[in-house]
Parts: sequence; C-alpha cells; structure tokens
Amino acid sequence: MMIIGVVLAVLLLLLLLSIPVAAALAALGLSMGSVFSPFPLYKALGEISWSAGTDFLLLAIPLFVLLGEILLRAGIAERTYRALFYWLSWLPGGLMHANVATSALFAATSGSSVATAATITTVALPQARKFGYAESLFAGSIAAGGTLGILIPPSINLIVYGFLTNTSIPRLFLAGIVPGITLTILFMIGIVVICLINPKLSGQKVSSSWSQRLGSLKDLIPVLLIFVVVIGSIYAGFATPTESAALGVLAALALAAAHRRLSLVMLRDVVEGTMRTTAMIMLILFAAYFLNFVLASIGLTQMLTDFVNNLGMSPMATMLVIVVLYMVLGFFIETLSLMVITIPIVAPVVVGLGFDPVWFGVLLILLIEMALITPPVGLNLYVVQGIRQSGSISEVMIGSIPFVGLILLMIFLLLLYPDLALILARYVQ
Amino acid sequence: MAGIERMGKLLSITETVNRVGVWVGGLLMFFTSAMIAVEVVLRKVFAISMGGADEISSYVLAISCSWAFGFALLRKAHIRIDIFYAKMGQRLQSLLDLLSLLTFLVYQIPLVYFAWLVVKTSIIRNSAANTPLHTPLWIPQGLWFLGLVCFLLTTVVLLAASVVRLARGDLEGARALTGPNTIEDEIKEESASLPKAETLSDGGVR
Repeated sequence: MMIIGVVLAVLLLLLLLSIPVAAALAALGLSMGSVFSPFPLYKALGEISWSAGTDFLLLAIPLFVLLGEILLRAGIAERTYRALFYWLSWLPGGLMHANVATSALFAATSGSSVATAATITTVALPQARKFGYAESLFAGSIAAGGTLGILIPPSINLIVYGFLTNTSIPRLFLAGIVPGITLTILFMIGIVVICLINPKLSGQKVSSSWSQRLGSLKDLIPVLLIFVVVIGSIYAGFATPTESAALGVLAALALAAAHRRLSLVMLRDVVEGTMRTTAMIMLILFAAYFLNFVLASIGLTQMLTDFVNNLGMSPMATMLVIVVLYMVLGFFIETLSLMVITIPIVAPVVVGLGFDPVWFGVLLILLIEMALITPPVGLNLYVVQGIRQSGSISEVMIGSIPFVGLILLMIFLLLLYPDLALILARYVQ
Repeated sequence: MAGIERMGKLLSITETVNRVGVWVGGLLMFFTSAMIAVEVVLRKVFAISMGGADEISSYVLAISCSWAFGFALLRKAHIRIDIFYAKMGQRLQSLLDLLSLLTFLVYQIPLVYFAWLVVKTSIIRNSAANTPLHTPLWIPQGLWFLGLVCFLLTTVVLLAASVVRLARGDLEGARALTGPNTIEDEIKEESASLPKAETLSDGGVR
C-alpha cells in the first residue's frame, strides 16, 4: 500500500504544481517503471505508443470532434436553437428549455463542451435579456445543458472509458441513451417546477405559431438525421463507432454545403480546432495508457483490487464511497484528467466487486457531468460566465445548483435501478 | 538584439511548420472519412470488400496526432490544472511554466528515442504489416516519428524563447508563450470564427 500512497502523492503534487497532465502522467509512468520494476518497462514506450496510436477504435475520437466542429462552425447550432425555441417556448421557463434541448442534441455530436456551451450562450443570452429572464437560472441551464452531451451518444468520454477499460463502445453508447434522455427530461421538469414556484425567474412568455414551428423543421430534421446516421448505423450492426463517425463527418459536410457555409477559411478553422482538441485528448490518453501499463505490470492494480476486496465492505457501500470520492475530486480536478487518472485504478476494483463495467461507465459519466458544473473548477460555469461578461460567477454557480441536485438524483436512480443503463445495452453483445 | 530577432524568427518558423503539419493532418482526416465511408457502403450495399481502409486510417491517426501535439502546445491546449497556479506570485508562475516544459522533455526524449528504435527495427527487419496491403512499416512509422521529433523541437524552441524573455525580465512575454490557457483564451479560440448570432423573431409577445 506504501507504493500506492507514493504514486498518488507524487501525481497529486505534479498536478497541483500545474504540470501539464499528459507530461505528469508519462513522467510518473517512466519513473515508476524504473524504480519499482526489475524489468526496464520504459523500453516499451515506443511500441506501446505506436500500437495505441494506431488503434482504429481511437480514430473515432478525432472524427467525432471533427463532426462537431463542422456543425458548430457552419452555424447549425444557431438554427437548431431557433427551431427548438419555437417548439418549446410555451413551457414555463420558455427559452431555458431550448437551452437544455439544444445542448442535448448538440453536445451529443461535438467533442468540445466548451465550444457547445460557448455557442449556446452567445445565441441565447441576448434573448434572455430581451425577454427579462433571471440570468442566474438561465446561465445555470446552459452550463448544465452543456454537460448532457458527454452522456448522450456519441460521447467521446465514453470512448475514452471504453478504451481504458476494454469495454464495448457500442454497448456503452446504448447504455448512455436512457439515462441521457431521462436526465434531459429531469432538467426540463426541474425548470418547469422552479418557474411555477417562482414565476419571476422566467421571462415574458413568447408564443410561436404553428407555421413557425413547421417552418423550423427544415433546420431540425437534418441534425436529427445526422444523429440517426451515426447512432443508427452502429446499432444496426452496419458500422463500427469509428465508421459511423466517418459517415457522420460526410453528412455534416453535406449539411454545411447545403447551407453554403463551406469556405477555405471555415475549413481551416475546423481543421485547426479539431486537431488542437484531438492532440490534447490523445496525448493525455496515450500517457495514461502507458502509466496504466506500468501500474498493471508492477502489480499495483491487482494489489489495490485485493485490498478493497479484503476490506469486507459490501459492494454497495464501496460503491457509495467511490461515488463520494469522485464528487470530492470533481471539485478540484479537470474532468478529462480525472477520468484518465482514476479509471485504470478504479474500474478493476469495481468490476472485481461484481458490478457491470458498462453500468459503471454511465455512472462515472454522470459524476463527471456533475464535476463540470461544481465550483471551484467547473469548466462550464466559467465558459458561460466568460461570454456573459457581466455580473458575477457566483450567479452562474447558484443557478446551477438545482441541476447539480438533479444529476445527484439521477445518480441515485442509476444506483437503485441499474437497468436504466443496461436495458438497451443487452441488445448488443 | 540580434539574438532576440533570431529567436522571433525561430518562433515564427515553428508556428508555420506546426500549422502546416496540422493542415496536412486535417486533410488526411477528411480523406480518411471519405475512404472509410466508401468502404462501409461498398461492404454493406454491394458486399464488396476493398480492404485496407482501416489499416491506412490507423496510420493516419498516429501520424496526424503526432504532428498535432506541437501545435496544441503552441496553442496552450495541453491541460494544466491551475487552481493553485492562479494564486501564486508571478515569479513562481514563470518557474512553474519552465518546469512544465521540462517535464514535457522528460516524456518526449525517451518517447522520441524509443520511437526511433521502433522505426529502426522496422527498417532493419524490413517489416511489412501483416495485412493484404503489406505496407512497409517504416513509412508510416517514420512519418509518425518525425511528428514526435517536431513536438520535441517545438518544446525546445518554446523553452529557449521563454528563457530569453525571462532573462530580459519580460515575465508577461514569457507567459504569453508558455503560461496556461485561461478560460478567456479558450473561449476566444473556440468562438473566434463562430457565425454571429441571429436574433430570434419574437413571434408575438403575450
């Protein structure tokens, strides 16, 4: 157990010193390998990096990022927002439902929750001011909505989880659907209830005509079609996740072309944005993969699993400890880093306790979603505030509290009813 | 002064090389998507298998990633946790920025060395992929290796430029090169070219 303590302490120290996460993970892996192992594990760095780097499965990550970048920069998010606004504005809390629904649809295809939340804030905020919404809850609904995308497939975070734990990505994607939709609905119910209790939080009611709604379908249907192409092709057994991402990229290009938004400048920005995000994700992933290899080789993973098993706690009690641990860590550590650091250690323990790895993947994503909107390092809070440029960040934080509560509710639902995640996943083996 | 000028030139060359690397990588991504899509349609609709699409795409993944790492470094996209950094004095921050680049070197130098061994082994053994394409492995591996070298050199250039600026007491300038990404930078980066928002039509206020 000493070794585990040392590893965690060194890692934490490096991260708190603001050393880039990828560099910290790799440097730790290299030094652990030479200190604690009789074999020169570092010699495998080249081979491991090449084999992980050429993993066809991982190609899905840049392709999904690319897909999202194309849609965002072609202005599809704005059109979707307007369409959903016409459809949902009659509900108490009006525009806020458009925030949540657009995010759910959109972040689903975009690799960057920053880009999605930024886009939606840019479009939505002027409307909020125009119609007199309370900005706190409004901003909270955007920040919270932005987290939905990492649960509703295709989700890059689920690919990362699947890669690090060797879990089937199609099954993970299927498992994310029901909890993702349930959470979206919970968010919307939450907004309705809050606005019924305190109508001042909602803005002026805006009515839309049926001709506006039907007219907006032309903006809504193409996005839904892309979603169907991507997800449908996976489930029909027509394509692997990577292949479906490639189909999605072509569909998005066609849609951008149909809106006459393709230009060299646009494509250059798409490419630079995609490769920047991809490089960031992949370097962390490769470094974590190498560290994972070292930890497993020196027997640390097994040691930890045995340790937890010998504690004699019931599996459910252990799971609750893990949930609380993630909530605490989520306050301080950026989410992708949190995932790659903890998954290699925690997942084997959880599976050893008899939990389904697919189910745990979904639970983990819910915990990560919560981390995205809890201060002090909830990324989405800062994105919304960064664009808002007025008022204080604490307003966004306060506005997000109800949504944190709803994610917590969803976590408990998933703990009580694992089938919420597993029911669809059973259809794919 | 000549030294500073030369440093500036080196920085702009680094920027250009990395950008071109990323553009080529991005083009390859589009090319790959098209190739995979054709392969899927041929396989499912016409039951024809071209074969090799996934193999080539895998090489594209490795190569375009290795060539993008340096670009991401220039754009400060590699994640750093700045919760304590933000509360430190400027001198300490500069020190941590340097330490960050040095830690990258701790990763990159062995990475480049062992990646070279991978390439060298493929050349010596004349290894070919165990696939219908029989790709001579040194070609994709060599391109991948060069990307990693570019990443290493980018780090070295940034480190040198940063040290030069620090030596002149230009803490701000050094930070502009190597400091962590602030949320403002990130939003600017993400939304710089996003289309302007259109206003919604009121539809009639009740």
